[in-house]
Amino acid sequence: MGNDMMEAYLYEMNTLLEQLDDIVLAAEEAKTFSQEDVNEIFRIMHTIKGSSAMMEFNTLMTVAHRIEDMFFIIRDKGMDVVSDDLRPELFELIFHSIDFFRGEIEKLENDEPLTEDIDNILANINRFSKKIQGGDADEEEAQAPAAAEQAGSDAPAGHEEIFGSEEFPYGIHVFFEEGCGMENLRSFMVLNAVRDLCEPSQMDCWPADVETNPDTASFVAEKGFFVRFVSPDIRDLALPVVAETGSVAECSPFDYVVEAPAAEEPPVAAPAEAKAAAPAPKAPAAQPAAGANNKQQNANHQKESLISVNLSKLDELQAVVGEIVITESMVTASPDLKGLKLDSFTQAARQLRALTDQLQDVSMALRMVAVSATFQKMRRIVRDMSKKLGKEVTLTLEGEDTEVDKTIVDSIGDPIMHIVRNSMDHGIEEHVEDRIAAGKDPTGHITLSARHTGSEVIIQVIDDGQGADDDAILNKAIRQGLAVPGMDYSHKDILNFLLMPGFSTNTEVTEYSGRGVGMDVVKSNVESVGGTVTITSEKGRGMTTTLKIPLTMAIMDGMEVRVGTSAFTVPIQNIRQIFRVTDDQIIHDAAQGEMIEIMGNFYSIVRAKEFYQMMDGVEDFEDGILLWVESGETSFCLFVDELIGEQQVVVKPLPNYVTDFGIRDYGVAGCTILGDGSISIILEVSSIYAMARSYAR
Amino acid sequence: MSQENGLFARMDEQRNPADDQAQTDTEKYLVVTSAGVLYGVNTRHIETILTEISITWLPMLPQHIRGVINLRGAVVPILDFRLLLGQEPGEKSCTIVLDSEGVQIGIMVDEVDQTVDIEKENILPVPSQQAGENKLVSGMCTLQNGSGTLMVLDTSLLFNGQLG
Repeated sequence: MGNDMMEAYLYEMNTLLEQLDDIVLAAEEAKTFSQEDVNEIFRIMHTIKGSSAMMEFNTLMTVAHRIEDMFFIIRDKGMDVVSDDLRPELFELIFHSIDFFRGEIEKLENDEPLTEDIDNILANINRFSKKIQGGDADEEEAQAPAAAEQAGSDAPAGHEEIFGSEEFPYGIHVFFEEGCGMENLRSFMVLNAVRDLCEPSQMDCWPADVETNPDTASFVAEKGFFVRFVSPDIRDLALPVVAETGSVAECSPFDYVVEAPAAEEPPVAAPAEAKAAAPAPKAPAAQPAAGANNKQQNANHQKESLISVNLSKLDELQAVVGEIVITESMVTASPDLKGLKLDSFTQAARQLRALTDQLQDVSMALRMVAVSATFQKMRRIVRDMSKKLGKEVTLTLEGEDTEVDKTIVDSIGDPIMHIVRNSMDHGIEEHVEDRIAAGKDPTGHITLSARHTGSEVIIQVIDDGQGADDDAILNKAIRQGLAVPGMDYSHKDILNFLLMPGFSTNTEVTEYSGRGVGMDVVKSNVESVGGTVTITSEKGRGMTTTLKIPLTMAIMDGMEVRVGTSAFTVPIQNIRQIFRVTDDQIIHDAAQGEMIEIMGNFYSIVRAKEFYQMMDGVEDFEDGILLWVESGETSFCLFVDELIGEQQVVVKPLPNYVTDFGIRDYGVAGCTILGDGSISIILEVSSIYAMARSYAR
Repeated sequence: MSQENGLFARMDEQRNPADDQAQTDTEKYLVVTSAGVLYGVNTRHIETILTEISITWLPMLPQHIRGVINLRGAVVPILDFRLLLGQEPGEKSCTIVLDSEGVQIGIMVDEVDQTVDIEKENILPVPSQQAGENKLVSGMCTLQNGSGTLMVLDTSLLFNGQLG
């Protein structure tokens, strides 16, 4: 079994389970499954059953099969069969099953062995199936498993049936090894093997459409495969050939007997025969199954306009496009062209620029995905936790279709989940009475929103819970050794303790939050994609956690600056203002620190030359220029020699060989290759400030 | 801008024949000099040789890492071999870019001399009492043409960043 197949299987399973989760969540809210939902769940379970069987994950197949059976009953009898008081149990059961599948899929992804023991979950499903079947259980039981098989299979029969034909009376009855699977294809192989022995008109087979119809597999497995010939001579020739074909367990000759009960008309059309072969009561069962098939085909048809591509290919594309953008400017701005009058070249170059810009946009757009999938997952978390913690909470999603770079979506999933869990666990009040007493809606509200602001996406988790208690946080911070007793901390400073490593406000470790990781992990995850985390909170009013994340990390607008002989790139989004100053505007503090007053606030100045201990660079403020930079909570001024200009740059990571020395802590976030082929260092201003402050101390 | 030395531009073309000769236990080594000592670098690891490079200095790195260069769009760190061994920087320099499973580093040496075939059995172990440079040297070998003794570099150690 190839890796590709496994990958495709895992991808399919994850997509289906996500779909299923969505359906059940919506259904739980509506307190019922619509006919469409039931069909969809039936289809999903059918697909899971089929793929799992193909991959030989029998436990998964069995569970899917049972759920499929259960939904067969619901589909057949309508949702009314599940009385209102049973419904919560049904939803719970499906959620459990989804979790079971998820757990197993995770094991597969980690190369761990699958759970063998599925009796518990099967027993639950069976018990529920029985419940909804009620009195007429017997009849249903006989039908349900049969329905899971596809049309063309037959009801269990005690005797060996022979499917003879008047036209081709001399036949061979073939049985394959039990459990060998894909009986239809094996039958087709048998057919191929004997085909050379005679004219096509001298033989036929039953089922007639083994080649094209995979549903015939179960028929063949049960009743065998029938190859039929016009004369006994050909059959005698064919018999040894058939016996030697792969997986054939048993083959015996038979002659057509007119009185045979299962007399057949000449096999003109397979569907007609299928109908004839199936006993009358089965017909309704066959019908919906065919309906489900049609539906699946429709769904497949819609999906054809989407393809899934390996992310590494997109990364590669992006890298090449980045190179093209740089090379384009290297060509068109080549010093060799200086002073030449090149009208057609200039025109062509302009066109090239427009096209490369377009190419860049397209390749970026390819990587953009909506945050909805990540957001939807939170619904499930809020649901589970509100059940578990006994807190009534509604989750509102806003701006689900906001698109961000795929790598960013992947890295914000966990942080968002953690924040939502925190809100559920610590934010929303434990007792409804507290909420009522505070004049709030007894039902808690959590809002998860996403929106764009130019180059950033802003994701907020807003809860209307009890908010942060400054005193409690400060006491805790002092206990943890994060804060100094007796010192004055602002409200903002105190909230920042929440983001520090080793801080967890809840003394008790719960199942959901507080597994030894805290908001500091959220912070570092978000920062790893160049984003920032801020918390605002008012006691008794709730808490808002805001993640600001750059739309894409690969290409950004930067300001090129020079210090000594080195070029640095400061992200434009971090620059608030650029200005020249004179020495007398500089304020010195006791520790030799330099500051400047801008709009009534004081900001520290960090000299890039000194910070990086560089040999060259200007000393006097009059000779250089100040960049007022800002990132999240950080705001300060960076002193550099001169500005080179604004430029769109392709961010390249620095080799591990150099980043291993911790230069990221000094604000060296990456580098970019400029139009002339030289390298500029991309600065991350918040790290510079953090490091500069730790120097000052 | 980087300029490649045409003679050695595509060292990897020599890799395949080298693989074929694996049975004879002979490997090709590039002989380079640094501070008057001959070093041998297995040509299997050599990506290219550069004579002129413009190094971008990076802050807060140990002295022997001179910075990074742009090699056909890839950002490659450059080590100064003399500084790595705690010697004075040299007058002339030449940079060999090594590649190990897609990871590239450049080593600045004084000069590139020639390539030689060395039989594996002729590479002798290094006396253990020698300190300093011998941590980078995996073996020694007397050159056939009598030009001296070759220190065979352990390239895998160079890739293991935390030196010096």
